[in-house]
Amino acid sequence: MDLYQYKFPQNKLQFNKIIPQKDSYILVLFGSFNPPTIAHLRSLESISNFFKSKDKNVIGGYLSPVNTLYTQKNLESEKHRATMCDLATSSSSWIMVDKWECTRKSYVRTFTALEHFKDEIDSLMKKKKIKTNIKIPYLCGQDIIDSMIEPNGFWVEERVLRMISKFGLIVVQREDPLPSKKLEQKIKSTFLNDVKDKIEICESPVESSTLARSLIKKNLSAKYLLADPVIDYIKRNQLYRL
Amino acid sequence: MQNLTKENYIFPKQKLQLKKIEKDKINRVLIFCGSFNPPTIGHLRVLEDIANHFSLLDQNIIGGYISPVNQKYKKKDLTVGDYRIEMCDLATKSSSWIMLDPWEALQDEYIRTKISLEHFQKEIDTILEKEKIEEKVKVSLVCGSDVIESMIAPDTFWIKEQVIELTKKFNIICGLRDTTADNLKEKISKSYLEPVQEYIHIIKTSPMSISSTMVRNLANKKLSFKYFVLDPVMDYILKNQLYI
Repeated sequence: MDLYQYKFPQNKLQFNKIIPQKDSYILVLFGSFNPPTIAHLRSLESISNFFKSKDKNVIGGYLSPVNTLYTQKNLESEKHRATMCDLATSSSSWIMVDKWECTRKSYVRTFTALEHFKDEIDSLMKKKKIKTNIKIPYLCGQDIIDSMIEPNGFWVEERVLRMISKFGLIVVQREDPLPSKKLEQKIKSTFLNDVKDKIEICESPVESSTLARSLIKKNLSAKYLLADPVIDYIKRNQLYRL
Repeated sequence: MQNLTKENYIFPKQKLQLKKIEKDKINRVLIFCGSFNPPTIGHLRVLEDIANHFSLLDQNIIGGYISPVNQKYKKKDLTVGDYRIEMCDLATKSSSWIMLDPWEALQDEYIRTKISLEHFQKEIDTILEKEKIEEKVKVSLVCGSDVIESMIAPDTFWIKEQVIELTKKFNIICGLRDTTADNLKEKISKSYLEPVQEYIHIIKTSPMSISSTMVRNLANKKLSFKYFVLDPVMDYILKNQLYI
């Protein structure tokens, strides 16, 4: 990927959604996206629903594929993974793909990547003369929490604390999750206790028809839970409203 | 799909792959019975998983049907019967082998599953006869674990003799996650279905949280990973021969 051709994508950012009194968020999902699945996109929709039901605004979302220097076996090239992310998000009205990490010549720490997003968004806001502070929390699954608290692991304790206190952390509960209470206790029993107020747990429950119906009824998104033409049809015919 | 009635109904066969039928092999048509209210990517995914399972056992899958249950079935929230037919049609559109059969839903009354399966067997047999194909095609019932649970529930509304007959004749295939699969097998072995348990296939399928590793493994084995990733992504993987 060519650094000189890189441009921060902003075509799907919804600035008109910003309300000064309300917290506004940008959701960034980091990962290898090797390949991107419906579940990746689905988890962003779930987190967006989570914020919306708390009366907060989500201005936009990004998939940020890691560069190949990240040591994972069978990692396809940046070009292929980034293109697949483009294809996977093409039908989304708010999720974009940021290829900045792909253009780096060395492995990028999550803190640095989040700062990149913060800088890009802040300079956009400045240009548009919008004064609201946009939050960009780190989104991760339970597995990342486990790796963070693993002694002598991949994460550096100080950096983790610095990152969470600056950006906040959203833990997404996936398949067979620890009950939220247990996860909270786990967090409190480790060094993460210092930043526990900055950590939120978002439940992304099993994805069934029942769930789809209850989402539609609540006017929340069921995209990538159902195929697109099905969603269009439900909308057009106003099904499951009552 | 507009103005579809019991009277103008025609058995859908456009996606049946009759040329796949082989002598000395088990040839199956999968019938997925359920509410499909609405049909999810997970439903379609289960059928793809089951087809993968049988192709690894060197059996042929000739086609698949989604058969939405009749509205008269005593279950809340089935009021959108006609919409379910339309949605199932849309959901199966991009599949090369899964069709919608609205027969069950179009009847005036609730249809017992055995009757529905006999309808399929009759229709398939008629086609085979017309095409002068002598091999047999086995109609198999695909269902969620909830259906099996309801069959063996103490206050079941199923007719036990019918269930046993149905199981022997058509087999039951149920796709489930690891732990629940083992639980269900044990429950069946302790129920009246014990004598016919060999006809019930509990297949361990992928959990609905879809992982990239799983997709790569499938692509590598040249098995289907449709509905795990979006169609344009799948096309891209195939075109560029990724993960092989």
